[in-house]
Amino acid sequence: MKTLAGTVELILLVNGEERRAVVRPGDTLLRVLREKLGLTGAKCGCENGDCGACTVLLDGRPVKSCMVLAVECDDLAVTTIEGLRDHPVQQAFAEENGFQCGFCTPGQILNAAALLESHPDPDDDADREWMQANLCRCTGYEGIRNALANARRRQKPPRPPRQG
Amino acid sequence: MIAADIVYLRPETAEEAVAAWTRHDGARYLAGGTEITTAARRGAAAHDLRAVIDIKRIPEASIHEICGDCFRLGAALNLSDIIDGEAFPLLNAVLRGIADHTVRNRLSLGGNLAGLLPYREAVLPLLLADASVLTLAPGKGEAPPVRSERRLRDVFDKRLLLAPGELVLSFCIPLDAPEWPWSHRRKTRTSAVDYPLVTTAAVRDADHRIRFALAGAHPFPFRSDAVDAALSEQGPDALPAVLETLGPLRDDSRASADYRAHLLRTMIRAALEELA
Repeated sequence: MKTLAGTVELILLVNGEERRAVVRPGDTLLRVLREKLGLTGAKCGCENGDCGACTVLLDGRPVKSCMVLAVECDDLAVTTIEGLRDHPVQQAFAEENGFQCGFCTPGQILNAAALLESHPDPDDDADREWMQANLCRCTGYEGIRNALANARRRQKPPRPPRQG
Repeated sequence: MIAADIVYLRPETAEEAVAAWTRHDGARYLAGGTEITTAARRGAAAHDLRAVIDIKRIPEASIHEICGDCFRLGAALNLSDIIDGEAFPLLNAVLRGIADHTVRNRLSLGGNLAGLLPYREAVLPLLLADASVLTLAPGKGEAPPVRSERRLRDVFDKRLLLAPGELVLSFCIPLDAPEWPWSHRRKTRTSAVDYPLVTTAAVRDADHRIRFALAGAHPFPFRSDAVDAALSEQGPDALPAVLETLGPLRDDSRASADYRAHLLRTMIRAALEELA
């Protein structure tokens, strides 16, 4: 049985890299990412699982990192916003001004990226259900919706050339 | 963040988990951890928390398969995995109403039933299906742990009635229950992602009887044979008697008791029409 007490060195796979951090078993993934690994993209909002500003991907699934203990993640792949590089969803958010103050944007983008991966075909119900997980304190939802639609258009395969 | 210095334990078997609980004062079982981490941060609970026992690696707590004449759902399964399994439409509908999908990616079935929040909506389909629950409890003294499978209705009265250290492993749902016609309604104050003012779940069982359960209107989930009998025999005419049986409803800043009663009348009537 794995037993961790006191302070322990934890090895996490974050954005494809092995990262080491000295943590306490009670530390959340959010705090470890921000305070031990310097990855401040995940934001510390409500720390109550409500706002979604701390969203990261665990094995590709969006979760609220304020509700996960870091020690639970030693065999999971963690993806933070720093791990997305020129992702189509990022490009779409920039193009559509899908943000105002930007505090919620990392969480919105990671959730939307996972949504497109999980539901590659347009699905209004899934879009609504998934994006409810992230609150925008500026209420900039119109831009976020436009960004998601833009990302979906980017994802569509090009039409085949006309015959004849 | 859990400010207290805690021990993290990750057993591979149910017996190891229960043994760990007996060895560590102030230990709590952890699957999704959504409640423990947030309650501990707020200082709202778990002030005596000294150890968490992560049960997600215990195979029988993560089971999701047909076993004989029932299908078994592990208590450590997260709600999203159950929804993706599409085994029980009413259960899926109820689970989709709980929290948002990123929380459901962590929140466990057992945690929803055994947690501190009063809603425990996941229990409604399990009560209606007359599911059973498999647990492992510490033995007395040097005795080995005690495994028992009991009817959920016998161990759920407002909340799961568990012995100290008793670990919920799985729920067993009769195979015919997912085939029954069902109805589910959930009303929140404003946004969809919120605690329910009232959630209702109902089925018409194999004997064409109505089974009805609700959450949110009381500080606990509710199901009673008297309500089932009244709705089965009298339909909407039973509404005054049903409201009487339900007793005092919650009256708080989120909704008055009168409003909850109004919602209940409307939702029960709609459920009966749906199941007619």
